[in-house]
Amino acid sequence: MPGANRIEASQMDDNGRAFLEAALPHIDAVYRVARNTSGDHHRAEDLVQETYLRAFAAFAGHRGPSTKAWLVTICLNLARSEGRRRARRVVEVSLPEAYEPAASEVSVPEAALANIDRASVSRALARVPEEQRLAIVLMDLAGHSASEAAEILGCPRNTVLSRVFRGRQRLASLLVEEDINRDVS
Amino acid sequence: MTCPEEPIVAFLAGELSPEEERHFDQHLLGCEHCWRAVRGDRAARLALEQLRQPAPVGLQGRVALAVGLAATEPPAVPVVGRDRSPSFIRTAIAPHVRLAAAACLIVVAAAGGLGWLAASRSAAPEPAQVAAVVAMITPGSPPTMALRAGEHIVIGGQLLVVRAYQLEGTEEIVATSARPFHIPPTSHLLTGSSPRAWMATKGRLSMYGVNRPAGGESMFLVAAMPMAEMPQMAARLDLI
Repeated sequence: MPGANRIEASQMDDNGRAFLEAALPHIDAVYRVARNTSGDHHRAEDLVQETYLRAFAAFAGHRGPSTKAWLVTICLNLARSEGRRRARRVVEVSLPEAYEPAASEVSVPEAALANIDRASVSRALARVPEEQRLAIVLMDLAGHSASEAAEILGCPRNTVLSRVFRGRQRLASLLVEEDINRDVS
Repeated sequence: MTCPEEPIVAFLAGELSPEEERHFDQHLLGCEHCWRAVRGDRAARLALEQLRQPAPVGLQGRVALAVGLAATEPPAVPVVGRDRSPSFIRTAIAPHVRLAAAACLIVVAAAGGLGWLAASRSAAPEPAQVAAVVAMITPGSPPTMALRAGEHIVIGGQLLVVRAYQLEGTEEIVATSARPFHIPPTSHLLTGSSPRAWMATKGRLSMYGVNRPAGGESMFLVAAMPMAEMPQMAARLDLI
């Protein structure tokens, strides 16, 4: 129908089209970041939409090399400020300086993984300390390199790698715990 | 025994030189601590694969619609001005209001006087008009086909056709569908179950709908006029 084409062609300006073309391909990554930094999927979807609206408002000034990193940074900032507003989090418990290896001698993480579902992984990830969780979300879920994650988080690359490592160790332990709890119940 | 973290991290990141890597492989054979750390890392990465899910169906359409609205809005309309969007958007997507935020924007703008309709004289509505109708019909359900104004759009599995009319200086937006529309909880029901007519208001907008059983065409009319005049308007538009 001519109506639809007319609207798409003439009423959405070039800026809008250029933005959607550049930004929409990254919606999966942005959603994963939103989903794992905000409480539930409704909030995550609101967060993604707000991220894109903010990004669009700032698109004219965007000159960075990576649109994905730019979107994810906006998303993280929004998630943080929303988190502060809701003030729902108690103080995060930090790991001791020496990390704990993942599993005990009797229960290996591979066994726990065999029947773990997505909800359990999501629940366990939510219990990983925030700095580590963010590093994991950026690298393992959004697919950023350590250097990109470092830039987004504003910390050295080695710090990101260390946080990802510790976070994964913590996650593996939590998954074993989930598995044990499920067996008991 | 606890080994330092750095070599394990470098090993897992694939950043050891070939010689260092051979050395670390040897170390792993005899070090339970590092071996478990490596296995834990691998297990966590495997588990995280499950969270690499794509964005939900419909989110891309919802985002495209919201951006499309921001990109098409006339600069003279202050409410949804791009430059001022942050604080406004924050209000619009307050958690207790589960409308699609883009649609909220338009409903609020519409409540301010339908200024966004001013340019419309044809039967092809603008995305903003479509979004307003979408928001009122199915709060919380983003269209799965966005920016298809004037054509068919699909919302929550329901196929709609949205049209715009102008009659004696007032704008009317009409949505029709082969399936009955969701009736807002605050509506006044006008007739019995079949066909079921209902009216409701939202801000300065009045809504008038007629739901017909499967096979018949259901209709939904939105206009900025008193609710009592809506049935007459529907009749003048040959809707009932």
